[in-house]
Parts: sequence; structure tokens; C-alpha cells
Amino acid sequence: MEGEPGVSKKLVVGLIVLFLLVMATLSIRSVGKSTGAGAGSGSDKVGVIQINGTLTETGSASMLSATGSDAEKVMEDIRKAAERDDIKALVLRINSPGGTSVAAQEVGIELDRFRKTGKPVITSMGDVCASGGYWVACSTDRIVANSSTLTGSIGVIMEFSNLEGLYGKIGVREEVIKSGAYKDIGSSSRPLTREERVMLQNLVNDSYSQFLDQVAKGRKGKMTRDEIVKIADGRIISGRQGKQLGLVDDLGNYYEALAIARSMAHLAKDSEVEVLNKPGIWDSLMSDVQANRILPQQSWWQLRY
Amino acid sequence: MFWSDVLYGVLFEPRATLRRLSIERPLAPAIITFLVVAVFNLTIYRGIILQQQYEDLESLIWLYQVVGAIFSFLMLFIMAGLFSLLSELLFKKTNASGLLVCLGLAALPGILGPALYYSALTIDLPWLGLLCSVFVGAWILVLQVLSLSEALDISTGQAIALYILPAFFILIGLTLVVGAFSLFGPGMK
Repeated sequence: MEGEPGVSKKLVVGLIVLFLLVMATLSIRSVGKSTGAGAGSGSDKVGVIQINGTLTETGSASMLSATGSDAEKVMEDIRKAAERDDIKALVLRINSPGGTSVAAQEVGIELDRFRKTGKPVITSMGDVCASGGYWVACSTDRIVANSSTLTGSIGVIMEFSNLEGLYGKIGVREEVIKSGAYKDIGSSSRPLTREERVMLQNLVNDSYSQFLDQVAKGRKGKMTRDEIVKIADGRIISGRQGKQLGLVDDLGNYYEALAIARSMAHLAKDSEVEVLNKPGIWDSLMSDVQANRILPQQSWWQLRY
Repeated sequence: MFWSDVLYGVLFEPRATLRRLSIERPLAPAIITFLVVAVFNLTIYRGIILQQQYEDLESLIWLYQVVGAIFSFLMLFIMAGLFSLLSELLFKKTNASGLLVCLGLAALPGILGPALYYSALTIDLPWLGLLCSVFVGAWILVLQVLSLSEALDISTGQAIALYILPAFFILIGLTLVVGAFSLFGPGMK
């Protein structure tokens, strides 16, 4: 280019460049804040973990059930929350009708470990927190429900489909070669035998007994085992009924649960809240393309709470 | 002194600066400038997205940045080639590399648009940011027309006609497609 830019030109260009640099710095700083850079060294906060939909183990239902929560992911989030010094309390926001028995147990065990750190855990029930969802809630220090939340459903279920009649109509006959009498237990091509039914009923009873133990442990001092057994017949109850019966500690919404968490952790009323497992846009996109919308529900060989 | 001279010239003395650039054709600095503007703007867009609480988009920003930069870079070449070709057909004048340089540097005011919008957001005046963005957008359009005029040595009227010609063809094409569908496509019964 011809000639040197004058002083005024240099000044204008310098001011523009300075403005751009300031804006870039502000932008980069806001990105750093959003991505949680420096997590662990920030101010004390309440962590929130969301459990939405059916609670299952990785791979056990991702293609077969409605969108839900992965127990392994939830456990990982609980562990991270335990390790982080800035997380002083945890709120579990549960909106789940239950899930597999193992998934609920695993999350419950991880929550029990978390509570050993001395940090309080509060359950905030959404639309539904029943069965396996309630199992998980029993591993928290306090349960907060909305008055119309659906909860309870304490019980165990195992379902099989007997398609023998259908197979006969379409000319399908299953040939089974098995190493033991019960290896094809639950087969869809024949009804359960009496022995098999007894065996599976015992299995369900054992799992049910574990559920009762979990509720009794979680509601210790608030409900007796006899009181629990009276309502542990699979019935669904509202949050308000749950409060009257002792299954729920407080009636209130998500923000009341946060307030309780802050109070229990001796945090300021305006202390920060961080959702630890907020779904990213990829998760949202992927959940929409899962085959669960078109495939039928399949629940053989799952004990479900 | 190239950068400060060009920055000032494109912003405040565009016609003369674009004429000089179309003759000197500093291709590499022009392309670098265009890429710097693209990358810088995408950095600011990240701040804007977060400022507007669209945190869910944050995870897509890197992809958006890369695709956006590549796409705008390709568009620069397509525009330069297309306008040069159309000019040769219509006015018997061509200067593809000069046009590439001018169009690349015509994007310079674009560096101010997102930055001004972001600064308006930080002081809670989004309408002012929107106004600035519209103004900068219009400014770039004017500079692109001036680029055509200076690089191809045609009048401003011819440059405007050349600039809207591709859009005009696209509009006609779309009208034909819609018309064909309405005539021959499945109708309501």
C-alpha cells in the first residue's frame, strides 16, 4: 500500500483493535465460566442430579424402553459430586416411575456412600417418583414431594408373555434343547409350570423383602416396618398421602428442596446451584433418534421396582 | 503497515482502497484477513450464545465454528468465481483474483457486527446490538457491490445488477419449482 497511515488513522485502527480485543476477552471468559472451568475451586454450591424416566443399567434397555436414566451415569455423577469440595449438598430431582431392581440398588448404594462424606442429600420428587424411584429416595436424608406427585408403588414385578396360542395360529413351534429343567424358564412358547411359578414367586418375594428393608432403613424413626408393609402392596399414592403416611418428609417444590439442602449444608440462601448431569444437545438429539419410539416394550427377565 | 492501512481504508475510504487492492491483488493477506474475521467472529458468537442462556448449544459450538469457517471460506471463492464469470459474459470484463481480494477484505466490517452486538448484550441493550448488526450487514453489502464495481471496472448500476443476478436466478428457479409442483404435484381432493 502507498504511504504510511497518519496518526488519526493509527488511533482509529488502534481503538477498533482494542475494542475487539476487549470483546474477545469477555467472550472467552464467559465461555470458561459456562464450561465449569475451575470447578472445585469455586464458591460453595448445591449440586443437582436429575433422574428422569426409567432407571436402567447401561445397555439393558437403551433400545427397548422409553427414554430414561442410566444408572452407571447417575452413579458416576454422584461420585464426582462426592469428590468435589465446592459441592456441599446434593438434590436428587427424581421424575421416574421406577426401573430395574439392580439399577435402583446400585444408585441407592452410591448415595449411601455419598452421605458418609457428611454432605446432605435431598430428594425432590417431580411428577412421579414411584417404585424404584422411591427406592432411590430412601437413600437420601430427606424427601420432598409435591402434593400431587405420584409415589409409592412399593413392590416388585416380573412379567412374561405366553405367546403359545399365537404361535399355534401362525404355525410356529419352538424347539428347545436345554441343559437343565429350568433353563428355558419364562419361555414365550409355553405356560409356566407349577414349580417354575413357585421358584419365580420366591425370587420376587426375596426382592420385595429387600425393598421393604430399604424403605425401613430410609424411613427409620418415621415409620415402623408394620406400617410400611400395610401400604407396600404396589399401591400408588399422592405426595400428600405420602406425607400423612410418613413416606414423605415435606411437601414442596424443587426450590423448597433446594432451600432445605442449603439449610442442611449451612449454605447462604442465594448460594449457587449446579445441575451435574444436565443433558447436552447431543443427548437430546440422540434421544430422539433412538429406536424406542418404534420398538415394543420388552421386559423379560427383569425384576422391576 | 498493510493491516492498519487496509483496515482504515476499507472502513472509511472504501472505494479508493478497494480500487488499489483490486490492482495490487494481495491475495494471501486478503485470505488471511478473511479467515481471521471468520474465526474472531465465531469466538464472539460463543459469548453471545452463552450470554443469551443458550448453554445447550455450547457443546455444538466447536463444530459450528469449523463448519462455519469452511463454509464462508468456500463461499468467498464461489462468489468471486461466479461474479467474475457473469461479468465476463455480460460486460466482457473479468478480474477473478482482484475480486477475490476485494470481496475477502469487504468482510472486514463484519468483525465489528458480532462484537458490537455482544457489547450491547453485556450492557443489556439487545435492540441496540440488533441495530448495529443490521447496519454492519448493510455496510458489507455496500462494500461487496463496491468491490464488484472497482475490481471489474464497471459502473455502480452494473455492479448492483450483477450482484442481484444470482439471487434473481435462484428466485426464478424456486418459482418454477413451486409452480411445477402446484400444477403437476398431488393436489387436495
